Amino acid sequence: MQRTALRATLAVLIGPSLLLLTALNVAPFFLGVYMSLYYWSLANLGPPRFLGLLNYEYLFADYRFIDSIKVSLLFVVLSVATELVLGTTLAFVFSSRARGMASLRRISLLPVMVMPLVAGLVWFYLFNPTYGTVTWLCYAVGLGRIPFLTKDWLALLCLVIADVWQWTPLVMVVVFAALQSIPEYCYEAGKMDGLSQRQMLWRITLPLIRPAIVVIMILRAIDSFRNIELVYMMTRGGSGTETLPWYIYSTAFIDGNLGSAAAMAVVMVLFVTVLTQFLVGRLRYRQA
Amino acid sequence: MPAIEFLSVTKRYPDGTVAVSSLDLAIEPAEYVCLLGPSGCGKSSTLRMLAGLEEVSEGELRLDGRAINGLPAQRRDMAMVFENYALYPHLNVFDNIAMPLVARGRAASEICTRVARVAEALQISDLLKRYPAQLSGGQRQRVGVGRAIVRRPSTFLLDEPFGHLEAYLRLQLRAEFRRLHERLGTTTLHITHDHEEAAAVSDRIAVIEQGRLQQFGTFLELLDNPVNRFVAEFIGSPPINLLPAQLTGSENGPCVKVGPAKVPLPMARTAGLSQAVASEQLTFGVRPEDVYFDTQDTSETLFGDVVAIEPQGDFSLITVDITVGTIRAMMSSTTILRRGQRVGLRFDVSRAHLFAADGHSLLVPPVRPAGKAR
Amino acid sequence: MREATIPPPASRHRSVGHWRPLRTGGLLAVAVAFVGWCVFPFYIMITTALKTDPQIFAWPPVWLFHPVLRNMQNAFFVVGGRSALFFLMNSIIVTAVSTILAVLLGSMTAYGLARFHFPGDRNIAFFILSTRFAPPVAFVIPTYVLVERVGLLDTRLALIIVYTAANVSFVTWILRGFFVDIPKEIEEAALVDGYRHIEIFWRVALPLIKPGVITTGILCAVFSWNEFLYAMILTQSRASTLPVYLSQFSGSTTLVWDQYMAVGVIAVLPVLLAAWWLEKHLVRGMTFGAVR
Repeated sequence: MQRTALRATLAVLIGPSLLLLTALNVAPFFLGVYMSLYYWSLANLGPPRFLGLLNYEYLFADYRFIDSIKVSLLFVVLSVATELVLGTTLAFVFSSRARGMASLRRISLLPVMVMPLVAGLVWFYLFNPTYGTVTWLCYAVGLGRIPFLTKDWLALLCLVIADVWQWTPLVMVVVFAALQSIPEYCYEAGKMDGLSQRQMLWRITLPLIRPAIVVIMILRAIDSFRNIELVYMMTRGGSGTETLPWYIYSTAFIDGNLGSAAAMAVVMVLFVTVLTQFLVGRLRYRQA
Repeated sequence: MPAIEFLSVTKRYPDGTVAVSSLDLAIEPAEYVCLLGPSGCGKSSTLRMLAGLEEVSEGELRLDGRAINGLPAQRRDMAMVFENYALYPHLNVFDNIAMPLVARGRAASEICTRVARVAEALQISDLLKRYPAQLSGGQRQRVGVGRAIVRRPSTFLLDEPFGHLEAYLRLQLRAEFRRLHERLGTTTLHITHDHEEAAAVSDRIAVIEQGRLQQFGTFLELLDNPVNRFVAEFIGSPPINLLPAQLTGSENGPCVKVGPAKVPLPMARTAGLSQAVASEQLTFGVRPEDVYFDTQDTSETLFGDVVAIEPQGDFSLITVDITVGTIRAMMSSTTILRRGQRVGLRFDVSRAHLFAADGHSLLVPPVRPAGKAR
Repeated sequence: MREATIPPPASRHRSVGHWRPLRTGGLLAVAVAFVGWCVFPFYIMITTALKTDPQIFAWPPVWLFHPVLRNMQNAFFVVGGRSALFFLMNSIIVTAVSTILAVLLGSMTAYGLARFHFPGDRNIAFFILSTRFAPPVAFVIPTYVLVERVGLLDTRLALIIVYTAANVSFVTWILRGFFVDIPKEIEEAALVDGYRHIEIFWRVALPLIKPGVITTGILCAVFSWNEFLYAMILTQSRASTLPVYLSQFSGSTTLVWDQYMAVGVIAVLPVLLAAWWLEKHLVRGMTFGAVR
């Protein structure tokens, strides 16, 4: 009697969520795989044509697809690396006990709160070649009228800058919290043991904040890989900023080719899953 | 020349509290000194100022005659064993102990041998690969000690090293520390609130209360000649008996009126007494070992009822209720007493104490006859 | 037995007074510069929302001007075509409902996983956790087809369901840590008193982690409020939310910057307020059991 009551309770507690997640994650995944085997068009009114693995074959011969992965990876690496370096350095800066640091730190979190779409909107304005504020600033300093969002590698840089603007404060706050959690006695022991300030940084501080840095880096990498808002608002995939998410979106909803897009989606999910497993596995191993 | 000197050292915290007030203390080279006092008396602040972890507000700190007030902790050649061990959580035992050597850039082979030797001496050789989180309190303590001794500093600073350990470990480690000191001969400053620990381990004891040095001397000096009531109360186990008293006179000379009894004071010790204290409320102090049972009924006998009998082996601790308070006495266990029994008490006044209203000791210190064990 | 002799005093060391103000000043300067860079785009956004058209497109940019509120009014109250107000209402409804549902379902699941151990509980927990890592862009295509087939395209209900699903895993993940931290004795006492498990969950456990629930709820609301991709693809006109309104701008030829910036400010404002209110609770809320 106890057992069935327990089972019923569990069913009520966990069941609805499980149902919801299955319907909206598992089902779409299998549907996606199914769709990837067909020619499925938004525009075409006829039934989808079975293609087998043809979509995948086309995919790996499609230079745009390969390029989009490269662009995505480049974007992720540039953004996350910059956020890491800047965020960690700033965490140290904000650790100083100067007056006003705490308030400044709180204000600096504003970009994190902004809708990513709005971030894209504002930076699109700022980088606009005709009337953008940043464009004007560069012009005023003597660098000429730089076509930010239309020049190839520069456009990607603009995306990186927008992403860095939005997320560096988050990295900073996480590293800052990690710094604060280092107990004072570690430094006192270090002083008594004869460690110089520099030695304390390398032998005590950095090793102790490493776990937090790794975690936030992984989260940022995963999140920035699937970013589409910035590309959508700032460049719409032009000038060498065609990331994988954008290519999937444009293939599916601009070209209307759902089958190909589904194939790409499947590849993307597999890629992300493998990456996540690898990274999270490494993380858990380290913590043990 | 003293190894360590505190010259009118004062520590004032930003919120205004004065932790240490005008401390004057001189510690000789290779001496083992205990800073003894209750919680919050300023002994930790004193130690930390010496270590370089706190700044000296006023006064001068000297090491071998040189002032070191502004010298950073790293350059003072001192090692500290922390109350909470303060082991590096991300390093294993070997790396923890090795850190002072690593900081000085010693060769790896030298580090290996020295750490191994220290671990062997402290019996933690099999723990070298473990991390602090996996160790017990006593093991962590030894690692902390190992880290302190591995580089042979000129001074050891011990901040309540046994504070969080079980009783049996404390006793064991006391003996080990004393032995270690005898082998290494390093000047040591040890903080504790346990007077038995201080007595067991140190050459001299500095009693501190509310940031002020009360008395500095060997355990026997503190026991026999407490300079004030606080020191008398703090030192000695079982603790001293303190009873309200008043000066009075009799045909035989000055006496102390304790309850109904008139206890005569030895003439040799009354030299410091002045008329001023005649009207004050004084405190009479006598240690349990100096309280005797008396069958005669004289004017100096105090009567009371036995309240408790605590056997301690050869002796028993008897608590007697006299109307003005309670007295503890040490009595040989061969004598049979019953609870509720009425007894008469007499005191060895040559070793008793009298304290003024402000606490300071009034009588000339007694002389301990050579050969007396207790 | 000394290794090193005591060096003479008054040598170079860091606690000397005259270094400090210089170093602190430098650090403050860096901090201020960073904060300035963080805040500058906000300034641009607000000022653009208050400028007139010629001022917005001016070169060099206009720094001082008379603020004009006309754009805000136009954005929200112009009749004929959809005003931003309509999108705002949709956003509010979808966010509110999906947040409540997500917190409800998520907390139940978190409690179930935290307190009951049964074969497969680890797998279920892992499954729920892993859904957070699903890239939206990959799943939006089949989801679109599903929603269309079910006939829920361009409805608020569809968005609510999708957002609830997206948030549930987050809520479960965070609140599970909180539940685990509650001492078991409280719940055991309630059991002995005769309460059923569901009642214990509702009356005992959930109130005990209120700060965590509020924090998590706010974060879910922020996510739903900000979500763009699904909103844009699953809705066309009737159920579109604020991000969809904002995204209309990109790629169009008419550049009503002032209105978009104005709406952008409105879009961002609730989140900022929530963050400001949350900041007091954030550190305690997130660290208290979140790292599991």
